[in-house]
Amino acid sequence: MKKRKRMLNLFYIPALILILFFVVYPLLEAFRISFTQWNGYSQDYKYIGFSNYAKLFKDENFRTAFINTIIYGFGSTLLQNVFGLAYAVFLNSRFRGHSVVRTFIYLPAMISGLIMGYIIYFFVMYNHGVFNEIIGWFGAAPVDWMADGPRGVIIMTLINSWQFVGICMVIYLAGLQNVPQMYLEAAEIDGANSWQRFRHITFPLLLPSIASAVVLNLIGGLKLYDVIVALSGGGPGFTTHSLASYISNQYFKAQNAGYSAAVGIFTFFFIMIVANIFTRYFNKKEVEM
Amino acid sequence: MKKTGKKCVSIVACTAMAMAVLTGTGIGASADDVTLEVETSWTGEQLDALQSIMDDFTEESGIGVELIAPGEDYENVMKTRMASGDLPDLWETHGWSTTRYAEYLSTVNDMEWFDQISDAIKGTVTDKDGNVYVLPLSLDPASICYNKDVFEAAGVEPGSIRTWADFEAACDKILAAEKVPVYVGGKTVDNTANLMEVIAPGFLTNSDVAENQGDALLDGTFDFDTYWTPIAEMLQGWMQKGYFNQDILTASNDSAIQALAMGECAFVISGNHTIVQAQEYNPDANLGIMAIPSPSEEGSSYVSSGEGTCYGMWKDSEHQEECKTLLNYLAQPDVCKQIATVNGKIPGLKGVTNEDEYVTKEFNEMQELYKDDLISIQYFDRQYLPSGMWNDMGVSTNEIFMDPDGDGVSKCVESIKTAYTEKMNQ
Amino acid sequence: MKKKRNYMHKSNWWKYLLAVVIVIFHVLPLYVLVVMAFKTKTDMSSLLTIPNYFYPDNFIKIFKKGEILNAFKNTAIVTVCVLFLEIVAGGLASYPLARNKSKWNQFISSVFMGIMMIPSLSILVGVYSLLVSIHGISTLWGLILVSVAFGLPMTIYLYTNFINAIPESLDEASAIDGCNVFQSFFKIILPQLKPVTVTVLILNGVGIWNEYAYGLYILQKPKTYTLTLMISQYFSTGGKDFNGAAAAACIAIMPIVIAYICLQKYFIQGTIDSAVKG
Repeated sequence: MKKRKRMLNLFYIPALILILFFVVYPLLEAFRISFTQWNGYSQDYKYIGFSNYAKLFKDENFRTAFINTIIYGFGSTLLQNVFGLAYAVFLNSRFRGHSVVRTFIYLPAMISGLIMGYIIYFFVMYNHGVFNEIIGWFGAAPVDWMADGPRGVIIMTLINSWQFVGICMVIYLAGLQNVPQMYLEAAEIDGANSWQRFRHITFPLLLPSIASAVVLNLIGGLKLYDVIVALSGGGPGFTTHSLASYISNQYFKAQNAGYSAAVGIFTFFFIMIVANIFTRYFNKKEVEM
Repeated sequence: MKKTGKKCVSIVACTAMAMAVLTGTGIGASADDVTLEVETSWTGEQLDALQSIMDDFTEESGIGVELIAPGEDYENVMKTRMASGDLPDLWETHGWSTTRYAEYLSTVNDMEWFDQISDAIKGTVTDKDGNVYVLPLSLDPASICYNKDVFEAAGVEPGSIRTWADFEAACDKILAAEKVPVYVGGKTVDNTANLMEVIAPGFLTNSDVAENQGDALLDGTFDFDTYWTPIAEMLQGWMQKGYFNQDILTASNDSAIQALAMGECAFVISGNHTIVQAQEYNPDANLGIMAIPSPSEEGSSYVSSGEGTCYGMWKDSEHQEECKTLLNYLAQPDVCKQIATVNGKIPGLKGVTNEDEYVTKEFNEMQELYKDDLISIQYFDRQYLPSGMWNDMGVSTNEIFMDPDGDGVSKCVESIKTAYTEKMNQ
Repeated sequence: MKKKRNYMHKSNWWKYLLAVVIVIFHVLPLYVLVVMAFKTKTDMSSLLTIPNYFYPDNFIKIFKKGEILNAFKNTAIVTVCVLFLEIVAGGLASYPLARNKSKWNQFISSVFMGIMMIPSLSILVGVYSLLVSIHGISTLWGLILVSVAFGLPMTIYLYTNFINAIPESLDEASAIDGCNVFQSFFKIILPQLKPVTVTVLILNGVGIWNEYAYGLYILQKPKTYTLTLMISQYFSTGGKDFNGAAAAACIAIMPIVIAYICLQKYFIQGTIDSAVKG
């Protein structure tokens, strides 16, 4: 049996080779660069120790990008799960044509975040933008939607949630359909109201779905990049950057490749830790259930 | 039975995919004939025009040309390519031939067209050792474009604007005529950076500036708090008086051009190419060019100019001879003229003119109008700031517009000072 | 039973109303995109109004240029190859991960999770110089290998969850029957992986089809452009033609939208499987 287990490790080889080559090696390279001062292209650079990491604590723009990343990640996870579940409950009530509605809710998830960002630009434009036209019908003055950083962050969180809410919805819909009708009917006979039935029967049975949905959404949200590039470019100023877009901004635009690498390494470990906490939490939770 | 069927299907699928991988690897392998890789920042219709020039070249010489046009990402892509020592055979240097790109380019001092480089651009493309690295097909004057009809409606006389005070007076008239005075497509950082690019020399480095800061900027002793603040304050004033479009922070580059074309705004502070682009929207747009006003009564108006479309060759290219053949081809008067004209620039070779073109006519008219006090300068950031400051100049200027009534100005100065200090130490 | 149907019938009107609102809410951006694609560049009317003329020139122009067909081909090659490699390497690696619960495996598993979540751009510099040294720039295989490496963790995550749900007693039984690990995998596990493979195909397929960040830096020659790169070209150029760009975007999203509508059952089942087996 032991030999069997050892043999089993051979199965890792193709995946490990690819990951070592294209992820681990570049990661080490990035780690090395994070100790240098380098403009990103020239042949000469110098080692400056931990200065780039020290700069992380002083750099306000980095702090903004960090906070934004958390908002993008957790904000969209929360929104997608709440609305995904709401949509799922609604569609699960089985009216005629519910599958058409499901089709359309899921549809935007098929489209590249980049293209979606470009499309949404037509909505948030100041002149002739769709949002301003709509609020114009009610007599409101036009608003320059993306001019304010925090509002821009919220708008992009909403867009990301809106675009991918369908994935959550579908997961929950399946979860709901797996809840045995029998239990619910039994509870109804016992006098449980619909909230109680949801809370004590449906919700616990949905937990595995919730775990997957949360993990999937976090992945999407914490990595948010395409939409930002297309919609705000991180601006105005640095107010809407995520860590991902800040990394590429610092590397290419600001020519601080060393610092950019340091931000990258930070991001890597930050997200790794978040990911681990979440998987551990859900694994424990599921064991408990 | 079912199982074997499935197996067959999967085997077929695997083979098909493996084939796809193999053909996939085939792409990118070099062909037998020489094909030069040429990287350009041009896109759209300009790119199409360039492509047809290259096609003609291929027909004549038998040398293939592959144009690479990464658009807005041009600089980023070039930086990754420099970082990895993998450059195209020829590329456009967008103003950085003697600084950023010089270490990767061959000199062109012994090329037959070397003596034909026009004097207006020769200084810009020559480094301190007298080396030139590019074929300057055009030079690019940075000035201010305006809509003549809006001027007329608001009662502003072209040529009457000589100082920023005149400019502000004109803006007030334009506001009264219910048009946007200055339209800035601030979603693209380049456009806010360009405001400083255009305004700063009059305050800091022109030959007629009393406390000239040129040397201080170059040796790193420049005092941003004292000298950059007045520039920022002027822009803050414009913001407070409502001279800019409402959506200055989020408007696209395109919307500024559109506004100029449609007569919704008076000024777009940008190079001549803006006119060419605006006329794509509205061929009848009545547009003009004016010189950049001076901050003081005594100072002269000015036009700053730099490299327009310039191509250099990679010093480690495997196809040196073919590169030279292509540059020689491009240096022919009619080709040079065509390239300069397509984006509204001025040809960079002696004896090549495109006087009949709308933009050149307007440009010459402006020179005529201002001839008693017009000075010609080089791009400010290329000459006085360390490489990589362009983006910082734009982002810091945005601070003013984000918080015009609070401490936007001090944040702007602080931000550009930090970036400058960091880059000077690099 | 009869009572129930009656009840549904009466109170359904608000559901339809809500359904219509939701559908509009989710389709509006695509509607705007399509409307823009059919307008002329100089048409300054509201983005919400349908033009009263028929103007297919934006599309004609794009097809005349012909680049888009090449971009289609590239995107298809990249998508197919990436999926194939991910399924092979990912499927294999998941087996020990699901069956071997040692410390070492826990470590590998958390590394995979971490990679799944990091923005791949954070190590762009390293990836780029590696590709240069192996001549992978501007080649589709360069992008393919990098995408596979970054997509593997997700694939492994899905497969591992799935294999976890397959009773281990099955492997054990096969071991007793004299199968070695390879035989157990190919005979017992592999045949059961079809549903999760569909999931991987769909989730990763959509992701790869829409890939942008790495393509931008790896694929520099126009011949190798994928669809997203081409679209960003259309949108990001100065003096731009938004209507032409909208038309190009319509063409680029068309295949995936059609695939989704036709194979909806699989798309949705795939997403569900990814979650429920977890």
